[in-house]
Amino acid sequence: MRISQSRLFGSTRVAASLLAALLLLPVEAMAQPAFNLGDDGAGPVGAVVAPAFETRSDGGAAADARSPAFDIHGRMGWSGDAVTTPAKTAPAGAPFTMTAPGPAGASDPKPQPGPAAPGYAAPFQMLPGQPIAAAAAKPDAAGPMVPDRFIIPVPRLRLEGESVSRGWVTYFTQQEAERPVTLLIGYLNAIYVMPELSRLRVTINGQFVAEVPIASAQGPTQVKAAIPTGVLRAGGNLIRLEMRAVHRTDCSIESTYDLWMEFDNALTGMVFEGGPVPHPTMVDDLPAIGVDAQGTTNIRFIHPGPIESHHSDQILLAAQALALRGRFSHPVVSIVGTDPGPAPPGTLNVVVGLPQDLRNAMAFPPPIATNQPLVRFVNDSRAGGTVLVLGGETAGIIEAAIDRLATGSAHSDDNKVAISSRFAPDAPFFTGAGSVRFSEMGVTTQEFSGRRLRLRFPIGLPADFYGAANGQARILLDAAYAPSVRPGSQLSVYVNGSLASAYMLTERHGGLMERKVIKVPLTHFRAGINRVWIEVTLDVDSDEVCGPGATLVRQQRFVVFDSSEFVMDNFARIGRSPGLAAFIGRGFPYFQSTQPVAVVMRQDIPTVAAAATVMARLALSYEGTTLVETAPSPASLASRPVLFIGDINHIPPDVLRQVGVVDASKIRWLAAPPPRDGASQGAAPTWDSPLSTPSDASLEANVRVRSASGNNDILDRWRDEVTGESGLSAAILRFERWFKSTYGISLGGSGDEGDSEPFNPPPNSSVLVAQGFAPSSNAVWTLIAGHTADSLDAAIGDFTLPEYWLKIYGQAAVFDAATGQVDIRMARDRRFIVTEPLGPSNLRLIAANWLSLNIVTYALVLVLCCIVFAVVTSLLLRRRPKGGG
Amino acid sequence: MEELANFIPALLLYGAEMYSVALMGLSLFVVSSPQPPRTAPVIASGREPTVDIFVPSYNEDAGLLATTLAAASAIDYPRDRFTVWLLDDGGTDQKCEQHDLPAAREAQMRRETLTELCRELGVNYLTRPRNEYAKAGNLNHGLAHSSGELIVVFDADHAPARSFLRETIGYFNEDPRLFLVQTPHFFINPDPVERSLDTWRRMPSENEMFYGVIQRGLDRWGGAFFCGSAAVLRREALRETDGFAHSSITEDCETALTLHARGWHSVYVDTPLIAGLQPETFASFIGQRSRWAQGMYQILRFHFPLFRSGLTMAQRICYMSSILFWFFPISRAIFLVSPFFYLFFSLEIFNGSGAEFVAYTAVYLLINLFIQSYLYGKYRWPWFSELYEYIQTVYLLPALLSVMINPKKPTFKVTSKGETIDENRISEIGLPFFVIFVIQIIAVFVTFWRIATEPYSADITIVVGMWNLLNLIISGCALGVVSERAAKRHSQRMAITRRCSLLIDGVEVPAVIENVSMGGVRIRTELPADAKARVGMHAVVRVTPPDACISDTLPILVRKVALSEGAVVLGAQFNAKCAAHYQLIADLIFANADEWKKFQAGRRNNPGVLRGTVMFVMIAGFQTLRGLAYVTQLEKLTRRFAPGLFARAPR
Repeated sequence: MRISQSRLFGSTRVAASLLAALLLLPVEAMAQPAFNLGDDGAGPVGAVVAPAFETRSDGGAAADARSPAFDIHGRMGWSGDAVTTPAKTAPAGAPFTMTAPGPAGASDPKPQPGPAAPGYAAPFQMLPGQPIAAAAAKPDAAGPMVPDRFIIPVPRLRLEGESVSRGWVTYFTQQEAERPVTLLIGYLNAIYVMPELSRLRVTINGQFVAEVPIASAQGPTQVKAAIPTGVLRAGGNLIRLEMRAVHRTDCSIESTYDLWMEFDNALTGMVFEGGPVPHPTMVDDLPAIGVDAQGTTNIRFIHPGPIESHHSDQILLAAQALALRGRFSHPVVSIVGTDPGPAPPGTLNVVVGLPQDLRNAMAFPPPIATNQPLVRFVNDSRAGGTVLVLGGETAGIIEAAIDRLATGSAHSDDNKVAISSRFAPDAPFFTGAGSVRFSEMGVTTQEFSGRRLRLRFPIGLPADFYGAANGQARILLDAAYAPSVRPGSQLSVYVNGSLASAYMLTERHGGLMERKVIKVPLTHFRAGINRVWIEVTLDVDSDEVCGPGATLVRQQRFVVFDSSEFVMDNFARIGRSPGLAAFIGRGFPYFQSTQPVAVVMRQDIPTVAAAATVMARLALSYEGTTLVETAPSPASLASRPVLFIGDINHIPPDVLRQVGVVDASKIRWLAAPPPRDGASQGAAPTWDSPLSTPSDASLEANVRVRSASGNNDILDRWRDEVTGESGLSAAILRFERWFKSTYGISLGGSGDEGDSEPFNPPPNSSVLVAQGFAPSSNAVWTLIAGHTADSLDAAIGDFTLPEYWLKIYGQAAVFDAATGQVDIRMARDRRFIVTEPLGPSNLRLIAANWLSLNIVTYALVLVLCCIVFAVVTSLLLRRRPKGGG
Repeated sequence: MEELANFIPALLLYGAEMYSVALMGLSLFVVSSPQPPRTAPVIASGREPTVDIFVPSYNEDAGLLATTLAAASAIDYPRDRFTVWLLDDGGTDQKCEQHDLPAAREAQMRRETLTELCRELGVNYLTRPRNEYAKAGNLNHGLAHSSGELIVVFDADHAPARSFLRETIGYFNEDPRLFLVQTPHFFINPDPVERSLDTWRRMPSENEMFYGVIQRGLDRWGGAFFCGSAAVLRREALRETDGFAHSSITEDCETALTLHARGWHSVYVDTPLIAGLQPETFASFIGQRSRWAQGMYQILRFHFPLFRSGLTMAQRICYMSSILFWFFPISRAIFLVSPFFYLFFSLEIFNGSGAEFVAYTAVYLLINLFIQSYLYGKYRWPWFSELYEYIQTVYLLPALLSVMINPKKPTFKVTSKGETIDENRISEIGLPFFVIFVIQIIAVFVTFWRIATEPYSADITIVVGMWNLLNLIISGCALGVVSERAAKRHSQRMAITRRCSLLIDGVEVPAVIENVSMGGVRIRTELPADAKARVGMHAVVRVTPPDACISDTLPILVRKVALSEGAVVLGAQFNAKCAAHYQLIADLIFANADEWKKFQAGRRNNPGVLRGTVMFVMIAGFQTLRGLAYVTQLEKLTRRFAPGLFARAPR
């Protein structure tokens, strides 16, 4: 019941945002050309902006309603006491520096007048009647600085909404921490963000570092802030960005989706006084390798000459160990020849191998002691300067060396999944019933005065999680809402992008919720990391009216306390294959196996690199390493879990058949996938237009579940149109549709959505993942394939990005690197793999979940039980008790 | 957990729901396989056990007692093998010598009258020094002064059919450990609900569900219990327990429980063998039910059947089922007020959406209705259980709570029977029903108001509103129940056909008695031209008398004369002068129990859930209007200007 209700709400919300998007579309389309998209941060030209707004006001009533921001100062004649017109008071072009603001300054809620950043100039100077070109003549004399260390661990970091924050842990070496450091932040924001009241706050390790007005709608702006000494520490540093944004004109909930800011990775980072700090030279400083301007950590294996299978064994194992030890947020492995040049930021050079391998790769290979594993940074001219050497006399000793590297990272807490280098703090990990407080998940107590509040936290689940159909979690919410909040405001819980639960705020005069139970069905939870967020949308009367200056009023409306808890109930635990979620999320069943993982691939550089990238990502997912065997004996393949990686044309047809993919010849790959316009190509990220609608929701929409042929959607649409007219059959169809969507029962009988014909990936696929079983055993085979080895290697870097990686589930999935689109195919024939002892309580939970999935079976079993019960009862009753009493 | 204000009512509601579910489970067990009809074992001639027939009385008038005693004396059994005892508690020494002189005189008069009556009827009159332990004490006094192997108990208004002993005694010869043969109580007058709702002739009486299904179900598990009257007991068994138990005010059930626990057996015979009277007014009906509810609670408290050693598991469940049933006032009250908590105070005692309600509660309700219809459909129409429970709840709840606080306090109060209602009126205890009704009407308006002003919680409001509406329908029907119609006679007429001769206006003509009630007869006859029947005329009916009767004539008083198809139909009132006349009346009414059975069978039709529901809603609608008409005095106006508008319920 709750689910159907949730779906209803979900669809209305989607409809609402679609509508909003549609309204904005013409505006956006017309406004876009006005901006110089290639501009990487130099001040935008006011002259170019002006037509854009003219176009907008031509755009009709909808556009008109959004534009008064530009009229406020002109027509309404505000006194400018509280809000000073920035354009008038700001020393245009003066560099904005934050010098050691104390905590008092941090808590000062008063809007700071006259914020002006380099490049911040345009909109308010376009007062009617003034020559607009005047502002354009103030270029930023200094120009943007290039950071010595990039810090943003994702390709594109974007904060959306009225009150958002994001934290992650960046590691610094002792040397780095000792130097005076300046923080650079390059960002762009939506034009709707009102700079007078919108602030970005940066804290490091909980200490205030900077507060910046968000006022860079014209193009990327870089602001600088000196980090007070003593704030940075050697080791992990929690960097936290908090955005408070206010809409210029609009008070609607929809308008909050227009508020965003996006960071320019290349302009954001740390500048150390005295130039870049040398590359880390200690193994313990591996995490301080950091990221490059795309948020990636490149692990470069220096390996001249052909790759033998024992090389790939070592590379695949070393990649795992390095990823774990370095706690890299997104490691991408490449294999290069000698003389790769000095390592740019976020790059680690590695040489791994036997003494002769080291000799091939290095000018002065370090001596290797007998029976001693070698794990050391050395400086070698041939190997690109500072290089990490993993060596040993035999393959066994190398494994020991790598093992030593990996075990150094053995993280202490089994109840956490280490993800803090992307999203701090680490995710709680549930293997059964348990609870975690919001404070432990980084959700702080906050009072909120806006319209839409989103609190996000990740939840880790084991590979053998099997509770999606009947399991339940609860959120015990400590919160309160003000009397001004209208009943009917909603609190929704989303899991992995799907609405899981909705709770209506119904009290007329505000309400205090103490440990209010919000039930969250586990329907959308999967093995591995799950993204959960609570979204509170607050309806307030004053927002309905939205009089002048309404968005300026900052009256607290909602508060959530960090004493709230997320409580997981017990869930069934049994592994199931094929199930890509468990593979992706926890490396299941490969990492759980005691055998080395059999990886079958061609030993060429792109394939091995792609395989190593995948293994590194899997090791991070599993939080451990596994031995790899890249030349397994063919006979053993039928009975052990195998990972097939490579270009589709070199995958044996029977492997394709086993994993449910059509024959390679039938796949219509595009000859050359269109180059992705994003991070993977190494180009500067392209900015969204400040007018554009947010991408967060569309990112979720990028997953679609499809049938083997992909024809079902088209068929449904045609059926709708064809039968739409006729009376009875349409009614039956509608009923069937309603029944299915409401109760998840298909009248056709089968409860599972998968289908049996082989999967034919769409032409634009970059990476195909599919799982099946070995022909005559229950051993799991997984295929990771691309069109060619090179295209696979190129796409795998994006594919392993958690943003996409975590969306993979089902039996097969394809990833389109150009669009980020993920197509899922549901599994049909799934088999259980026992992972935990099948105790009575676990069996009960498994049965409950299975019966919830197979609801028709459940109904039949129930009816059968009733009949048996009735028969037995009547037989028993027929035996008269003796003597009649 | 959450707020206390929400939590407590929610917990109560949860408890009430669990109680309903549990009770339903117990009931299903009890009625899972009702005992099929038994055939009475034949008593070998000469081996008839000696029987003492006790008719305990407290304040019933002589006429009523005369009928019962006459019927008891006329029982078909060797005259020397049974003795009828009138156990009079209204003429005890204590009563005759009390300080209230008029009352003392009345008691002395009563003793004299009854002694004379008993002498005429050949019945033993027995009274005792003090009124100790009420009915149980009275019966035990009777036990002490008699010696029959078997004891039969008839309430003062329970006149037995002639076949009573033949149908019951045989079982005692078959099973030496048998202590009880219970027969159903068949009533020849409607209870207040039946009379107000005018359903007596077409709907099974309330107690038929108990005697038609539940006692048979209990009997199947060896747990049929003593219902105070119309039963045969074994003296040997009673001797083990020093007579009838008296720690509770329902001595009957308690006695049965004690003896069951000692390994004695019981039998239930599903044939109406006595005809009695039910309480006439709503107030006395409530009084009777309060006694049962309190007594049952006392048994639970003093004996707790679930852990009582000596009982079989099935018997424990049976007794628990019978006793726990009487907790219905608590759960009913909770179901009644719960919607108010939500509608008036917005307490969130329901945690669920409208859809969840439909999925769980509505399905439960429907299934419950279907199961009830399947199991009891012939004996109880849909929703009437709810009506009966509701009308009792208002008064039984305080009674139950008081006995829970002070279990020893309640004392035996005799249910008054044979009262008459002279004019249409609201029952003296009817006010609360109108108050509740008004609150519910307000709640209906609040429902609409909240749906309009709080559309976000409309689904729950609608659900709660529907719930309140259901309560309202029942509550409206109860308004009709407490608006009591005037009733001219105690008992309804039973159709019989009996030849007689009528002496009227100086001639004797053959006639046929068409029906008979406790008060009179209807006679069809053809009069010669010279004879005239007039209202107020005295006449005499001559019938074939029963064996022991010394008279064959019965004086009557003509009350109504009608002509139909050339025949004269007289409505006449009995004008009994002596005991022999009562014997004749008893013979007319009680000679043949088959008539009762036929009458009951005629009412036992299962209308089905849907039709039954529609009928109930129609009845409820009509009764609501009637109740409102009574309370607003409109009824008196309509009686003047549109007579008959509220006289009959819709069919």
